[in-house]
Amino acid sequence: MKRRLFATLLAGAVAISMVACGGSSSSSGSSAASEEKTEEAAPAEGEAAEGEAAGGEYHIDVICKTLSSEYWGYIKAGAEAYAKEHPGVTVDVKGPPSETSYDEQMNMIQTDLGSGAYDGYIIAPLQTDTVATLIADTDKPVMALDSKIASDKVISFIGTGNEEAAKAGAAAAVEAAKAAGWEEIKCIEIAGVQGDGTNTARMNGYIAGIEENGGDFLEDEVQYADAVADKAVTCMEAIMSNHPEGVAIICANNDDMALAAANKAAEVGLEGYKNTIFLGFDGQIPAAQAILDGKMTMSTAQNPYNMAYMAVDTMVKHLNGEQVDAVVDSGYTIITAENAQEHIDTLNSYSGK
Amino acid sequence: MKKNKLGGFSAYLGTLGALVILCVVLTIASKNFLTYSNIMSVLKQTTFTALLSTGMLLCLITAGIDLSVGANATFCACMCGMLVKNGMTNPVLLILIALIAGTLIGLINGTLLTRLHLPHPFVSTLGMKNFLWGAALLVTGSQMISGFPDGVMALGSATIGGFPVSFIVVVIIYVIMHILLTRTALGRSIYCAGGNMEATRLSGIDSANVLTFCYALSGFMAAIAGIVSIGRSGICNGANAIQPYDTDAIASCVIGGASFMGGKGTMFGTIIGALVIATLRNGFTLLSVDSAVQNMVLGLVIIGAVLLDVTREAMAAKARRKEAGAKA
Repeated sequence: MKRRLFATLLAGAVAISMVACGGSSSSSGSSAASEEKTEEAAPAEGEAAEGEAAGGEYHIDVICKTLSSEYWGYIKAGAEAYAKEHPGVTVDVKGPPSETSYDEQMNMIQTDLGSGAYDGYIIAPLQTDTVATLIADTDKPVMALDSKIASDKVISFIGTGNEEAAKAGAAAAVEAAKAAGWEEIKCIEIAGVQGDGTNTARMNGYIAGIEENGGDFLEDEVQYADAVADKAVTCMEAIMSNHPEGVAIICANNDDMALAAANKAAEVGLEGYKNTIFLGFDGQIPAAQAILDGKMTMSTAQNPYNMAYMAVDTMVKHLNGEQVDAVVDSGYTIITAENAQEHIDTLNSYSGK
Repeated sequence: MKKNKLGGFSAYLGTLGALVILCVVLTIASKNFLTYSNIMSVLKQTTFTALLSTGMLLCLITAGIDLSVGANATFCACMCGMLVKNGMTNPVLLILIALIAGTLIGLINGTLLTRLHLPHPFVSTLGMKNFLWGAALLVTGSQMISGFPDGVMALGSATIGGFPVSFIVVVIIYVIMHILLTRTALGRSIYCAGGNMEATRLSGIDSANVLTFCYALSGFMAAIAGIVSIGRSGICNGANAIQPYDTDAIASCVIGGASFMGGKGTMFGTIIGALVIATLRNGFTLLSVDSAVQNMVLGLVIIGAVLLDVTREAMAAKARRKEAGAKA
């Protein structure tokens, strides 16, 4: 892996230096240097590529929504743990730079489907219909991870619907709000990126979870914070201006925003927000720690490590000719002050800490 | 003049060399790189950036910039999506409306710059980008829309023996644009406008019209890119408007020899620039490179490209001084 990383950096360096040479019509010195570098790099890369391929029977491609977040880090760990335990299986886990890099994920899927290097594809779609279009012609098995793909090509879906998990979280939040003494349970959401599929699913879950349990989800007052903490602070300020009397539940599309909103409320210190339930989503270590410290109230955690492990397992079963379920539920957990420490310990064990 | 042309040619060679070497490195690193289907993937992935780069190049040549191209493409796709959702199925009409919408937005960009005298297009087109982002979400009701008719999808999805039709379109557009830039009075006026605006005006060229043309064309190309994106992805999504398409387009142009100072840049260089970026991304995927590293390398390429722009300027200035010295 290190070698491959090095090779890529070198490839990038070569590209840059050669591009740079293009400008100087007279300087030939630097261009010669770059060529030398390329020759050195070549054998190392060749070995690396062969080493990868010589692994075993099944080569499975796992394309994530991104790899640059804790959640997807656990997905990667889960998929790789399976490969480690099963010598016949190799996995490649990859993902675009962010969860809004729609185009880059599309390119990745297209590239990998076209490469013919894999026996099976496990895809967490950023845009489900796009992935459905891309996989329409492939004859290799495809499974959906984390979010569903609307295509009859997909053999299994492994994950917990964002909607179901959010609904369960919202239901728990309503209970907690009742316990905290709220009579009129109003809920305002600080949402993520408008138009994003995950955002829509979680919002629908929150609406259902709040309304079905006797709460009042203020749909007209949803604040969009583009899934980032600093915008969530601005949203929280607006909410407190509009509702100085206090709101029972503030639910957010992720933990960062919930925590930012909770911190802002604590900082301002309005009486109406002393008992507000701050509900996050994802249940990652910093959020679990914040729940433990009493800074925010609760979070809904999907189980990414298991989800990925089960996904690779399901794919291998299918490749072995076994019958697999169309939906494999990887479950969710509601993190509160009671189980936060346990949750942190479990997460740490995944990353080997 | 002769010397100039030769200099331009060797600049191509450098960029082309970078692409070739990149391909060689990737061929050695991954056995899946040099296959027909993968090369076709690269071409498909180049199309969108290449189309946006066409308009961007024209703006850069005039020492301007168009930061709204990506959002414009997304908006045009979303316009189509909205119409499809409301029951319109005539592909010709849909494409026509998208093209008109894109061109109109470009025209507004140009008018803001030339008739309302906003200082630098950076500001106005950035504003336009945000406006279009919102507008794209608004017309689609913040939802992804699918179910486009085949006629609209064809441009982005059709292939001839595996070769993407969209790339053939790109080649045709690039050839036409090359002729426009190098063989017509309008093309020469565009280069002039980037060199020295005052001199251009004094020489009797209506620079306001020339600039407006560039931005309108940029909008038109963005609309084509938008239609291609529908075909490739099968959907439209307003949230796409904030993707860094603009930076990719700028990087393609600059890698290909364009300058922020204006007056320079060629279609041939730009397509090579777009190919370099697409190839790099393709290689990252084949090698399963960590996205953190991808970000770093792409960042370095963009910085390298700007650095190159500055170095080129400095060298050109030095050469001019030398020439002047020799004459005196």
